[in-house]
Amino acid sequence: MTDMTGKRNVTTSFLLLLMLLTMPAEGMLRGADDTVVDAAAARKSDQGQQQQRIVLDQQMNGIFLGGGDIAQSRQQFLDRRLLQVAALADVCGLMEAQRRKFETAARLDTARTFDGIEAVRQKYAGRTVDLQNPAGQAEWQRFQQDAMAVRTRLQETGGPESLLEKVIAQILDDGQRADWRREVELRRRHQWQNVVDTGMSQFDTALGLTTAQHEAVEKLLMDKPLRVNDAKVRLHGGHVTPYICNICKYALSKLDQQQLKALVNDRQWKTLGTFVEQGRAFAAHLKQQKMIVEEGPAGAGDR
Amino acid sequence: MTSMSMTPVRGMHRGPVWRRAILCAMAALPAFAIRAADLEDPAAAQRQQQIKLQAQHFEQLFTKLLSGELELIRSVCGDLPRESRRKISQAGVEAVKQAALESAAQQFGGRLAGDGDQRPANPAAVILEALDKSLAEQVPGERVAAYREQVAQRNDRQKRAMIRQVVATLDAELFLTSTQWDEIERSLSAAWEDRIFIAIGSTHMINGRRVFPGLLQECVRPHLTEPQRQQLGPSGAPNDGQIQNWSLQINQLNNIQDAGRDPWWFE
Repeated sequence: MTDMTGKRNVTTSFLLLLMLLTMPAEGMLRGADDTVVDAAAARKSDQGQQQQRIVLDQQMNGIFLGGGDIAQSRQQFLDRRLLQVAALADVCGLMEAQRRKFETAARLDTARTFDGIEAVRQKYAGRTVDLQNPAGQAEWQRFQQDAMAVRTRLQETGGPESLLEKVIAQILDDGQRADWRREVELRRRHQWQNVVDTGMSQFDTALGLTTAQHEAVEKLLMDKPLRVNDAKVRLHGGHVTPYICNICKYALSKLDQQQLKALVNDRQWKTLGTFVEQGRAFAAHLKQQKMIVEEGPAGAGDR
Repeated sequence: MTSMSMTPVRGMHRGPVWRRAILCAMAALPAFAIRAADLEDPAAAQRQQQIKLQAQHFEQLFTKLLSGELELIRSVCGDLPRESRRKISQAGVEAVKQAALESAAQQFGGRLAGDGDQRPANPAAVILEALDKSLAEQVPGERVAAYREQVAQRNDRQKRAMIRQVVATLDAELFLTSTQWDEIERSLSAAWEDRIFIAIGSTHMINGRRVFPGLLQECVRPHLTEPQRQQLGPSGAPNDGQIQNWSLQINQLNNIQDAGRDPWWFE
């Protein structure tokens, strides 16, 4: 009898233990706790819904350089254009009348750019999107595209559409124009050398290139420079190195592959070949993002 | 993961018999080894597990550094006896493991237990140092000198590349003339420290101005015009985290597809 009771006790204990172990944790809180749990869940749900709603005004303000202060942002934008005028003055030795014309062009560029931005701001004024429904998601995507365009305009210092760029050739005399063309070429060479050096650092690490090999590959890349839109690359803030490396890999893919292959051994080519393939794979993205400018020779005023 | 099964569970030899039995049984199972340790010090156990997992990831990345370096040694030093090759490559593999563990430990809380050294772990330096030492033991002096010359030239190239990136970042803000570009490059080159580049990776905007933490202002400001100086603004000092942060270089290794082990070194 005692044995039976003992066995029953063990079985009961085992079943109780099993129930305790398999019981869901949430099920442990009931009774008076229900109110607390339900209120907390409701609060959490409310917060979740709020997180799904985005106030577009606030988002747009965050994009401006001055952290939402459009007047400050406008001044900073103008200041950067005036730095370009100062560079023109330094390189070409501008006369006072020429300087005034360039400064006016810079102010008009600023006004035109901020008129465009203001239109986008007005478009989203007082709007909130709900990411929980498809219409809200679609609007959010449109907003992001417009916001990216605004950021690009704010970042660009010139570009073929800028008035300042367009009038450079008209305002400068022949000697000044030649000086500025030379300057533009030197600046472009510096920028391309930066792309090549950054990319080649990665190739050095991965392939174990000797100095002679490095110089030979570098020469091929420097002899076939690409036009890089630095402003587009810089949209990614301080972390631009991966983008620059991708541009360099794309440039590798545009080289004569037999010539390139002849510069390295078979083992190195296995790795270099993967870089070439990565470069080809990035081509569409780089062009779509307009990081690479694939047009004919640009005018004297190009950056 | 194999090493996880070796993890002793603190306290497994103390306490009542039933407690010791449970802890010993759990420690015998790899999956439970860390959980058993959690009973004693969950935070420390979790950190150890994170370090081990991260070290495995770093080991894969740093192996790419080793592959490139062995290729350079093979190119420069030519034919080497099989035994020498194995010793050099083995030294490299060990250095990769050490660098991976140090970097992982640093990422999860400063330093390895018992290691009083607080220097930032530069994985490339750890691997290069080990290879150089082994090479000096295995290879005639003139070949070692030739390899060191190649490494020095590569370091110069990498320094030049980093300086160009810094100046290009400044140019995007200040519209430098080509003359200014050259002058700032020269000044930075004379006073260069790798940490400048690491810090420049953490440039950010404050009130519409790009801030360059750790930039040596004395190398830049004298070459700027007054409006450019106003636009540049203060640079701010880099914090220790930025100085010790090798993640920029480490992350770049992710984009390298390793061609696999060269059997010449390991057979």
